[in-house]
Amino acid sequence: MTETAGAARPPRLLAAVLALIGLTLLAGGVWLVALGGSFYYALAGIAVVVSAIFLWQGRKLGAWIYIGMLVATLIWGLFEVGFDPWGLVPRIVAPAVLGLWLAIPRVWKSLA
Amino acid sequence: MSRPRLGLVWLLCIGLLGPLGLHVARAQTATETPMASQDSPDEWRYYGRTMSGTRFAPQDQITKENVHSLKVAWTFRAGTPFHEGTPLQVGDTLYVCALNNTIIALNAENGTERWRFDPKINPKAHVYACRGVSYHKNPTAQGECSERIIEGVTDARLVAVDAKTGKPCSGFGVNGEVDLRQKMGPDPQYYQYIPSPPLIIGDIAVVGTSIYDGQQTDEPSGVIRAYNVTTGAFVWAWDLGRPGINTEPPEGEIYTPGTPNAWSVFSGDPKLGLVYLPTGNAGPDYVNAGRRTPEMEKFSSSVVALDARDGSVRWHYQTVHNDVWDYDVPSQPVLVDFPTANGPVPAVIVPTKRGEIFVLDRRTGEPLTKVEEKPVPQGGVAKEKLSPTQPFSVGMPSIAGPTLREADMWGLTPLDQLWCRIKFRSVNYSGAFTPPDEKGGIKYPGFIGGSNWGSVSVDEERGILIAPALHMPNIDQLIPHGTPAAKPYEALQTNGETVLSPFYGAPQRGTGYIIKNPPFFSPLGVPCIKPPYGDITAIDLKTQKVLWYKPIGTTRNSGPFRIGIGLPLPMGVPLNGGALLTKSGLVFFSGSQDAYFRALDIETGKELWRANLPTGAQMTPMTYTAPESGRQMVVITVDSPIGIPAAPKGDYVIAYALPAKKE
Repeated sequence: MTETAGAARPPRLLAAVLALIGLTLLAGGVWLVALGGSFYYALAGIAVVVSAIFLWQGRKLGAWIYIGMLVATLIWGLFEVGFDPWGLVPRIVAPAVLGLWLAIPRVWKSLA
Repeated sequence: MSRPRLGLVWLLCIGLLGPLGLHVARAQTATETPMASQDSPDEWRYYGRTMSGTRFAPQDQITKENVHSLKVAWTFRAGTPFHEGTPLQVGDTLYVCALNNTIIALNAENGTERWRFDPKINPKAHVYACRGVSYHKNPTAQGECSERIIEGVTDARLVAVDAKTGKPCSGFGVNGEVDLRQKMGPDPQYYQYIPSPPLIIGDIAVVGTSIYDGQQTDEPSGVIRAYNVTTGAFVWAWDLGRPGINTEPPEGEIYTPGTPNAWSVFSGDPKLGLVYLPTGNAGPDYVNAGRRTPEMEKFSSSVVALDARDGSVRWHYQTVHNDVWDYDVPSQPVLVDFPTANGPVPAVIVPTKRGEIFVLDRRTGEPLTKVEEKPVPQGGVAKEKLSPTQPFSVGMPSIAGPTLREADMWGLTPLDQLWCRIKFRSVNYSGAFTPPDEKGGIKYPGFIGGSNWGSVSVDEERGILIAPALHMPNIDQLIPHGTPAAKPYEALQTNGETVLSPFYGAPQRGTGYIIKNPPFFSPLGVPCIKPPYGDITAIDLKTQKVLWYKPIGTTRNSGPFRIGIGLPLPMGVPLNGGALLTKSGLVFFSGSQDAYFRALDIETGKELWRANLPTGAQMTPMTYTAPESGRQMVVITVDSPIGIPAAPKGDYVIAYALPAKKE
């Protein structure tokens, strides 16, 4: 039997974790908007939930949406605090570490 | 000349010169001789080195070029922990106090113990810190106790011991002690305690006491008292509730309860005969609502100049009006000759928790740099009448840090950062002086500062002021007594019963509200604001501009829930304590949470040397020349890192020096 792209199981654990995180970001993010705060968290929450759905389905689009969210987050972070490494840590580090899961060859190859 | 005309000339001369002569005579009788001072050009005889408290030492054996080779010269283990203590050096002996008020004398050359004296603190007393002891040498006497060490013991006693032997001075007070609990009223909780050394000026010791924050109205008086250094006899008191009276209260009466205290280190000018006190407010801190008397309000959160001879008020200058933020002035006022357009003026520099640095003429209290009364947020609880403005020392740089924005909120992950931002938007915040109220208000700078007891240090030769600062906001919330949310804070007592440190809440009985005032932290146990949390600012006194600014400290002891991550990443971590400055242009600082002892270049802030400490050292380093070897020693006590309660408590005194020359 040959292995073809998409034949291996999609990263459903990652997708579930991301869905949980995304929903928390969305809920809290909406609360923050209601208090007059930043829109970022609600938008990021939506992006993470959407990426989680696609990842659950084994679609590479899910990974791209997550990566796009990371890039947009970096730009937003620079906009908020400038080139302040410590200021950027909470915005980038944990999401990037989670994103590394996608970089595992077996995981990446499992997406179609 | 005809006779009448000559007479007229004489009359004119006397008329003109007479008043001049009278003026001279009056001036001569009005001028007092300077009071005696223990200041010595070579020795460290006061907490801040001299009565002026500059923390600037003339030693220059250790230089910017050779400090990199600084090594431990000796280590002393006291067997009992220190906290915030800075030793004195007189001749070949160091004098230091441990947290339990044990006075220890060490050989200044090699750190071996000469003697120790343990005053055996009452177990009920509040043990907080022992910043130092005081020294007095009688210029005329010889023999027993002609040189003495005086200590404010935390159970509210003054003790005097012989500097050579450590034996109590029999002629001082009763059996070598003065009881400072007399005339204070009942104080079963020992709210009155002493963390700082008395100021020795002339032949008196001027003593301030600390009154335990936040418990109730009518806690013991914050009265300032002076005692004769030789006999311990009462000399004068400044009880602001009894203006114009400087004697002890008559039989059956007590010093006015609840008045502002002055718990930090004082400074003094022996020529002017003045002592400079940094004052707190009439506690509990967070509610006034008309409770404080006009006299209490007048002198609270101020710097007060008292005549050292009789305790009368010469002048006073307030740094916070109607203080409901616990913004007591915590720093030793530092005396310098301040450069002005008209030449140097005798000045007093007053650092504050607010991060504002006031510079006043120390003869009159008039500001020497521009101060603006600026409008500040209003509101607060019902009946609180906040001041519409507060004084901002705009002529000097502030070390407070910028006003917080939602974008400055921090955390470890986007989730707790989100939590911090929601919290930021859910409580009140309109910048500095956001008042405490039932909803909660962010207080930044927090109640640990800005500046604190470490004060600032001044290199008088280069005209550079060094100001360490802490950055840690609180959320201050007043909750009415009797409500369920207030309950955990109401039943607080000290000494054996449930205690919640007033750092995070206090009962404030008699005010109608408890205060809940934790530091603003995320659920993952890290600050909700981004770093740096500790930094040093250097200010050029001539231009009043910032020379350099540098966050201090790495993350090696910091981390979520106070568990150190172990990695020394530069960040700017919480700090405590002051800086030692030396003639060769070095800044020595030990009080950073990451437990490194550092030397910086005073002109650039560049780190020139760093030593690993066994644990944190929240104190101000000192230096001296060891008489026998001629080696310059830099000495610290090592106690614990700020903000990490679980850290082991250190009992070290460590001396650093250049390696001894080999024969």
